This record gives sequence, structure tokens and C-alpha cells, in this order.
Amino acid sequence: MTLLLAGIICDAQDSTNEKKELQLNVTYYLPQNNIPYLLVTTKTKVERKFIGVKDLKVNVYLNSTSDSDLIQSFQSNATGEERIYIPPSFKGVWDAASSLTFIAVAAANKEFDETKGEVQVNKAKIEIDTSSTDETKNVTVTVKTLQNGEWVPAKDVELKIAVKRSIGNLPIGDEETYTTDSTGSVTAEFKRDSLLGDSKGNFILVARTEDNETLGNIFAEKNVTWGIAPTIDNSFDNRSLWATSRKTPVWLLFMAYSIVIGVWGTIIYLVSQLFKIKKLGKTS
Amino acid sequence: MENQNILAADKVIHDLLPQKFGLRGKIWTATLIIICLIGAYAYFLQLKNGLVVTNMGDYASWGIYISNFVFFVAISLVGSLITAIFRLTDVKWRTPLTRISEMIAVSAITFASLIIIVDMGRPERLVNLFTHGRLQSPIMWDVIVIGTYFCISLFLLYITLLPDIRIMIKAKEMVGKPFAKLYKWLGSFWKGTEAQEKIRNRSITILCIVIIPVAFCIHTVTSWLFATTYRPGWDSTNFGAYFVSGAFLVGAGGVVVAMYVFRKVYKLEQYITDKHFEKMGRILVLLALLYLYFNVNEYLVPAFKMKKSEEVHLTALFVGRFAPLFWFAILVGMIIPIIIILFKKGRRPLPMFIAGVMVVVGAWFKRYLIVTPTLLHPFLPMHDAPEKYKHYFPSWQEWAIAMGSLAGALLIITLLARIFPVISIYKTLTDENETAQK
Repeated sequence: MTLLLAGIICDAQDSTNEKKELQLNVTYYLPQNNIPYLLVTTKTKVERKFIGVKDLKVNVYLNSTSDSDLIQSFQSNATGEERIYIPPSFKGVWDAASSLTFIAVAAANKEFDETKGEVQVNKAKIEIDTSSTDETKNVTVTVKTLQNGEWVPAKDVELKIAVKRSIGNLPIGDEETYTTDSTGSVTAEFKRDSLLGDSKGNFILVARTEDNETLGNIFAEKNVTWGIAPTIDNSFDNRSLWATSRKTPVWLLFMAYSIVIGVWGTIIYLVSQLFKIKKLGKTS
Repeated sequence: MENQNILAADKVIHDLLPQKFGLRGKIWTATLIIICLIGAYAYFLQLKNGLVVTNMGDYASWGIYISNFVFFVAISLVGSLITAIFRLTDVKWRTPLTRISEMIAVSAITFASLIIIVDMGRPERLVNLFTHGRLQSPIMWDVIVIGTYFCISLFLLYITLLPDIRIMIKAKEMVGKPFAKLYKWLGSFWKGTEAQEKIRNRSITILCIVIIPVAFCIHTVTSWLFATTYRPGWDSTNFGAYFVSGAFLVGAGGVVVAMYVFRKVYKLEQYITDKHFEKMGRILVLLALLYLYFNVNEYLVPAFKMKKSEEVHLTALFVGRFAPLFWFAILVGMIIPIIIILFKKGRRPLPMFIAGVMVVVGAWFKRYLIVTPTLLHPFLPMHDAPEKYKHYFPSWQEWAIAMGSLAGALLIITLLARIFPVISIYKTLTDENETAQK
């Protein structure tokens, strides 16, 4: 009896006290010529799938979890993703440091214990340079990190170099990724001939790190005139079967009007004959 | 001899003048009016609430309204068959049939024009067809050609009526007062002079020449509404001829039914004789065989190839959910009438009437089968389309409007038969005089 009771109590404790594991991730993004931002995700595993956790209170800090370093607090939404922009008040700290630590703290609730997630990034930048001859077009990407107030080349950084398209990015060559050498540079050949650009043949080259452990996600873009300007098909404005009423093909107008005029001309003639009959009836 | 002719003329006039409705006529007319009123009420609901009262949807965007439209267009072709083709080929026995076929043509084309407006969710936008119409669209061709055919049919009916109107004005005591003013307004100027007769005859000949290509156009263009779209069951180069042959068949069937009914009701056995049924029987069987031939082409050739996209459509027709209706239309609309009329006994009035009714009923369902199953089997089915999109059965409002339009067409024929002679008195007298002179 005692054992049975103990078993029930243990079961009850398991069902009430066991909390789920929360994954709190912080990812750093630095778009070119734009404000850096963080993507904070709150997720948990349910039936082998990660789903967003909503209604969690999360504080995001810079460097330490003191109140003065609080960047932003938010309540997580159903997607479990929140984008946090670094506010202007942190400009001084931002400019002075060459390495930054972002810390996110999710408060405990009924389902989850207090959870902490952090990311440390070195400040870095990407530069894109291009060169072309008659036969080849090359893209040189240089990555530099800030160390002791100076920009130094970053070697062994894995990069993606691509062309920005409407839906996604198209790699410029056969390689999926490129790695910088000791000078912090990598040169890739542009192999996408006959690629459509905008009306002037321009398109945008993109170089980016992707979830780099020390640099985060940093981007650089460069506009090049290597594309083909599309020739606009103006046949829509021509006379055609699919055009508007004002653009009806001449042959169709000719045929339709010939038939209509022929038949209705006959009808009008016959009506005039009827009036003639009427006139004859009055005079007879 | 002259006295005998005068007596015969009096008898013809007496027999053929429009007669007042008896009890049966009144019940018939009242029934038609009630069905029309129910249809009008259903249309009022449709106007008030929109096309949502119908069971048409994203797949079956054309339902029985369009089936009915195609049916009316088809049956209206009879005016050109009996009046124009028979006149131009100098078929002597046509006289008792021409007026009936002209009345059917006018009533059918009137309701073809109306039912297409009923199919529009916003009928007031009809005017846009004339202000913003695109000549590239077969729908625009249909609007033009239906309007033209309506005018020609009405004109043909009117101009052939002129001498009869004069007879009715003269015989006002026999006809009665109700329509005296109408007759006067319509034809008091007709004196039957040689000059007038000459112009009238020439006008009728011109009309008969014009009406044939217009009639072919009206049904060919209607077929193109379907055939110019790339869909299973419609994507056919055969469609124009297939529609025209079907239209001639249903038109001839309609005339046979009307011949029998008018002969019975107005006691016209002396004028619409067994010989007329015999002759119309031969024409009907020829037209039924012709239409059957086009049907074999229309279904057998795609079935032989059985392209994937056509397979679903054809299987549904041959052995699927539309099979009972399909085989009913083929058997009742063509094969059984052919078997009946092929035999001499089958070309007597009653079997001919039964065959005519079968042809007309079969033809109505055939139009439904042309329109709806194809719409339910699109080449590009919608992703995750709701189950209800894949089925179509008309709502009560659709049935009421469709039946109301059929009743309306019959009502026009009934009223025309009440006001005007169903057989041309003047032409009958002329024919009899010619026979007497021989």
C-alpha cells in the first residue's frame, strides 16, 4: 500500500515538475551600410521537431547582464523569432570594442527553467572588388577584423559569393563556398554568363559569412554591369487577338465589319422595301 | 367552278383563322404563365442575392443556363431550314410548316437572348459589351449574330404574314375584336397589289438567302465559344458542323411536335396531312443519322486515342457518373427516333410526334452534357479544390429559371398562334388555285 502510494506521488511529481528544454539562440547580423541586428530564437523540441515558444519574457544584453547593458526586453511570439536592433545609445560601447558579447536571458515559467544564450563576435567587414578581361570576370573578396583599433586581414573565413536574384542568391561559380587566404582575400571566377540584369544590365554581387563562429553573419554587396539588359517584348501593344478592343487586328476588323455591313445593309434595304410597300398601299 | 373555288376559299379562311382558346387552351396558357412567374421570382432572387443562389462555382461556371442557351439557339435554326432552304429549293409541300417554324424560330431566339443575360451576375453590364466589346472575342461575335438572327427571323415572320393580316382585317367578324387594332397597325397598308406582291416576294427571297449563312453563323459561333478553348470535350475542329447538324435535328424535331399539336388542337388534318409527316420523317431520319455520324466522330476518335486529359472526361461520359444521361441522350435523342422513323409506319403522325418529343428532350440533355462535364474536368485542376467544386447539380432557382424560359418560349408560340394563323392562309389559297388551274 505504501509502495503504491509512493509510486502515485512520484508520478504526480514527474508530471508537475518536469520542465521542457528551451533552446535560446542569439545570431548576429551585419548588413552592409545598415544597422546591425540580432535574431533571438526561442524554440523547443516537440515530437522531433523544433517549434517556436511564445509568451516567454526575454532580456537581451550587451557584454554583461547588468541592467545598464540591457538592449531590449520582449515577449516571444508564436514563431519564436524576434529581431533586435542595437539602439543608438550603445554607440559608444560599440565603437570602442573590437569584440562584442550578446547575451539573451529567458525568464523561467511553468514550462521552462531560466535559460541563457549568448554569442561573442569580433567586429569585421567584407570588401568586394571586381576585375575583368575579355575572357574572364573575377570577384575578389577581402575580410578584415578589428584588432586593437586596426583592421587586419582575417584568414580561413568561409564565404559565400553569389548574385542577388529575386527569390534567393545564385552562386557565381561551381563552388558552394570560398575560404580566405592569409591576406584575408579570396578570388573567385564569375561563371554566370548571359545572366539577366536590370534594364541597364546591372545586378548585385553578394559576399557573406554564414553563421560564422567568430564573425556572425556579415554581408557586403556590389553593383556590377555584367548582366544582359532584357529586351522588352512590346508585342502586347501590337494589334493581336489578345489585345484590347482598340488593338483589334485589321484583318479581323475588315472581316467582321464586312459581314456586319453586308448583312445589316441588306436588312436596312429590306426595311426600305417595306416602307415602299407601305407607300404603295397608301397610293393605291 | 368559280363558286366552288370561292366556297373552298371561305372554308380555308375559316379553318385557318386564329381561334379563341378553349378550356384546354386556357389551362395550357395559365400553366405556362405560372411557370414563367415562378421563373421570374427565382430570377428576382438571383438579382437580389447574386449568382450565389445558383450551384455554379469555380469549376462549373456554366450550368443549365448555358445548356438552355445552346438549346434555344439550336432550335431557332429551324426557321432557316424549313422556310429558307425549302423555299429556295422549291419544296412544294412546305406551306403548312413554314409559319410554324418561323414562330418557333422567333420564340427560341428571343429566349436564347434572354437566358444569356440571366447567366450574367451583373446584367446591367451587358451595355459594356457594346461600349467596350472586343471583336477578338467569340462572345462578341455571338452577341452580334444573335441580334442579327433575331431581327431577320422577326422580319421574315412579319413579311410573310402581311397578306394574312389583310385577310384577318377583312374577316374581322370571324376573328373577333381583340386584335383588330393590332392587325390594322401591322398591315392595313397591304392591299395585295401586283407591285406590292412583287416587292414582298423579292424581299422574302433575299431574306431566305441571307438567313441561311446567318443561321449557320449563329450556331457555328456558339460552338466556337466552346471550341476556341483548350479543354477536354471542347477542343475539336469538328464542333461547328457538329453543332449545326444537331441544331437542324432538334429544330426539325420541334417542328414535328408543333405540327402534331396544332393539327390536333386546331383540327388541321386537311392541311397538315399524313404526307407532311411522311416527308418530315424522311428529313428527320436523315438529320438524326447525320448528327449521329458527327457524334461518332466527336467521341470515338478521342476515345480511340484516349489521351490522358480526355480520358477522365470520356470515362465519366461512357461509364462514369454522366453515363446514364449520356446514353439517354444518344439513345433517346438519336438512335430510337431513327429506328422508329426508318419504318413507314413510324412516319405516321403519332409515332412521329413521339419521335419528335424524344429528339427534343434528348437534345436538351445533350446540351447539358456538352457544357457541364467538360467544366468539371479542367486541364489544370485547382490545388486543393473543395469537393463541392467537382460536382454540379442545379439549384431550385436555376431549375425554375430554366423551366420558366422553356415555358416562356412555348408561351410566345402559343400567343403567336392565338393572334396569327399557324398556316399561311394566303399561301394555302395560292397553292390551291395553282393546283386547280393545273
